[in-house]
Amino acid sequence: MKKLISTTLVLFSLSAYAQKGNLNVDLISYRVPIRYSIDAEIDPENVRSYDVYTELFSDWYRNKIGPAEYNLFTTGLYEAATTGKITVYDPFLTTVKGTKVSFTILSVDEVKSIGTSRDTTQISYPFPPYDLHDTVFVSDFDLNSIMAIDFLETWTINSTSMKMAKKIIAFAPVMAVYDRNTGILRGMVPMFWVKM
Amino acid sequence: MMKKILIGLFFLFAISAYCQNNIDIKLIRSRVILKSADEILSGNDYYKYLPSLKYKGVTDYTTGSGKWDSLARNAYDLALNGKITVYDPFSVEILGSEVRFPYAMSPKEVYQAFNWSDSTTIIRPYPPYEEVDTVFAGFFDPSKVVALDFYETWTINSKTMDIKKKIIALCPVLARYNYTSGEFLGLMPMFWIKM
Repeated sequence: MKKLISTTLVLFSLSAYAQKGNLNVDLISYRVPIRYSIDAEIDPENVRSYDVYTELFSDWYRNKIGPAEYNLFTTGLYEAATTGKITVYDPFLTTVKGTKVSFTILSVDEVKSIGTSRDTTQISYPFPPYDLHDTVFVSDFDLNSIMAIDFLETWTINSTSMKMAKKIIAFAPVMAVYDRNTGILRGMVPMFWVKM
Repeated sequence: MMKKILIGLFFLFAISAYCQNNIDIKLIRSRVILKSADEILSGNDYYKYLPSLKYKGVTDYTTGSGKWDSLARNAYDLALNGKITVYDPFSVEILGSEVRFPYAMSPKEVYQAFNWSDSTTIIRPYPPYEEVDTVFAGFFDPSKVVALDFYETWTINSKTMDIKKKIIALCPVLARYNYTSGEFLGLMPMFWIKM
């Protein structure tokens, strides 16, 4: 009985310490760009031309993942996801209840279809009798279109020392999507979640 | 003796094989915007900076703005009381993949950086319209801390794709405004806190 009481007391004091000493962020998500240029419009060698970008988010373009690490990461991730070596989850069927996140699995075929398109149209020959013939435009996924990583994390911040630790719950590569006809950037789309 | 050498070699090989499986991002800097653009900008500012809003940083499921304010207040108070060492954000040196913070800010410098006063002479709006010295003062406002900058190292296991992050330093980032017009001037890093 004595042991039980002392254990309970220790647990209470630990809990009180945790509440007092730490600032916990139970669930937070944010995006980290990993390429020098996160917008096709931006010339990475001349970021000054993009005043708004540099003014509000100055330094974002610096210290990103180097080209060698970027290639290793994107190639390894895409290969692991498309061969089923890792389980990945649908970014559009993620639900958050309170601080709990539920994921829905994506099949390998669904992963392979991300960023690819097949479009059939009819074009005419440029010579008489100018017949129409079916043509298929094929677009495959480009690894270089992975521009950023979305993170789902929990943070623990010690309020007396300001020491901070991050624990990753899941991450999602984010790809840039361009208009097929004009080449203009339409937006950023998360591809899939990888749980830790 | 031979057995020990073999065991040592085995461990070295094992460690080397493990390291080859990892992709090391030795230094990455990221910015997490803690507040919405609505909270940071207003009026013409909003229009001017609208194109950048697609990069808005954070969705916080558990922490309201008040919690971030108390975090910012806490960091500032600790720096002001000398309980933590903070480093000047404008003298950071990056050598290869190593980041150095050569200049530690004193509590007085912390105070002077985020509190200001400006004296001017104004004329009373009634006769005899005498001139009076007036002091405008501004004090640190934790609600204006709108982002956190991080220097981190990432280790990515290339087989499992597990990512481990190690924070090297963090830096609260302050939104600065023109004190007469209220115009948004930009984001200013306050100080680096080493982990």
